[in-house]
Amino acid sequence: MRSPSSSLRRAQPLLGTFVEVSARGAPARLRAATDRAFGAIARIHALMSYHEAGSDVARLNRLAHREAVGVDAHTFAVLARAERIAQASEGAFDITTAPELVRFGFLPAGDAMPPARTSRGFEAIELLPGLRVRFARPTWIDLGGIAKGYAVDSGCEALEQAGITDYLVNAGGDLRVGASAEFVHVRHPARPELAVPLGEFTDRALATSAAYFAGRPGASGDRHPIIAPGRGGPARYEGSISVSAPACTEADALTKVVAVLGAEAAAPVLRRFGAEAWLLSTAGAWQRLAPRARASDERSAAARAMAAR
Amino acid sequence: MRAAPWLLAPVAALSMPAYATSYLTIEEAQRIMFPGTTLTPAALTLTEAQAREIERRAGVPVPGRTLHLWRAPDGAAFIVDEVIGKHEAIGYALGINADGRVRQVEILDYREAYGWEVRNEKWRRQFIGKGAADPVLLDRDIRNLSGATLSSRHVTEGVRRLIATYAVAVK
Repeated sequence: MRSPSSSLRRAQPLLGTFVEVSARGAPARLRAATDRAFGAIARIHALMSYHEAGSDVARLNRLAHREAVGVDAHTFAVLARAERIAQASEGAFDITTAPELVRFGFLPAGDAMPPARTSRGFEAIELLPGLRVRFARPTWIDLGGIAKGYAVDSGCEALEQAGITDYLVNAGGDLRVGASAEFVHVRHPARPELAVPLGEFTDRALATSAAYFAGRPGASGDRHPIIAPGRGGPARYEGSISVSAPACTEADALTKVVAVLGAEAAAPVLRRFGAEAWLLSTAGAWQRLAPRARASDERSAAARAMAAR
Repeated sequence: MRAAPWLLAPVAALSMPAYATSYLTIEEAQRIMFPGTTLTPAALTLTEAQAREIERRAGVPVPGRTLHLWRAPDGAAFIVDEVIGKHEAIGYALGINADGRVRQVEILDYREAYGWEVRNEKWRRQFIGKGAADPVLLDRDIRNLSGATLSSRHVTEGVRRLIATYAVAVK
């Protein structure tokens, strides 16, 4: 007979992968709180799926070039955050690359979508008052590069609203940690059977992008390559890119910015969002990007400054 | 700390020939999906004709004839099943309402393997229905993994098969 547990770890198939929710706290609260987290994530999936005809994304792709289309507040929030990252990265983060993904066979062309042959960039998207969105030209958007991170954030917010501060939500490798430290490993980009220790995180999100099992259409659910805007082809980095940020929405999207811009050009963009990155090459070497000053670093810097006086 | 914008360092990788996580026991999944309801275990073996009809409806093969089934008083059902992919074996539970609609899906165990293990019956069986309380995790050190998890496509297909199974053989 097991004694009542004060921690609960569950997983459900959502977002094309496995979403894990771990929570610690008052036993009576855990079940309902984790239910709410899964419910929040499922709602984001339904709103932002490229594939489901009734989703906000599918409606926008069909109609927004003709008229302003009302969307859910969550969809609008993701678009607004995508716009900030698109602007900060000068278009390296681009949610309008669906035509290229269709051409390369990673997404299907939706029914009744107007012709769009190439990515338009965020300039084609107008975010209007009253949660309405209009496309200046026929445009196909795909939120696959940011919605998973937003879904993780939504799950975490649902847990916090239910009074849980000690949690971890992991959606197929994009994760966010609450008030207690959690150790995270990164899957080796060339050898998926190896896990490389990355470090401990508290109150922080971490997302990782890499080719992994992708590389051929339809082989791995929603996963597809990152398209480099302007070049019209997949970004070429072969290793894995892990980005930590205050929220998983930005962590998820910024992995694509690093993949497209490369390490040096991406570093100032990362700093702007309070993010840092780790690149793991296929040969198994780390490259650290835009590292944050740790409290311990600040203390040692202060000690050195004292000693120098 | 030096002012280099980035650092190069070799890594120490941890092998995870059998990365595994157990989430819920069968009993825990039952309490989560059917709180306050008494579920009755029901032995059910599919006939060949039923299996063929399920395959026709679901479009996926029926790997076994034995169903791990519990019934609720109102006609709803709780079914424990397992799917095997190239690198993964996943135990899961499906709650299905009396009208045949999915009530909930919970993963019970998630196991990845990159050797012979995944198709080995004995290796798989050591996990099924054991749940979080049992010390069967092969690699306790890897608790949180960033970077792609395998696709949930096989579970989605398994759920489709069980929905057809409910309509053909349980209802």
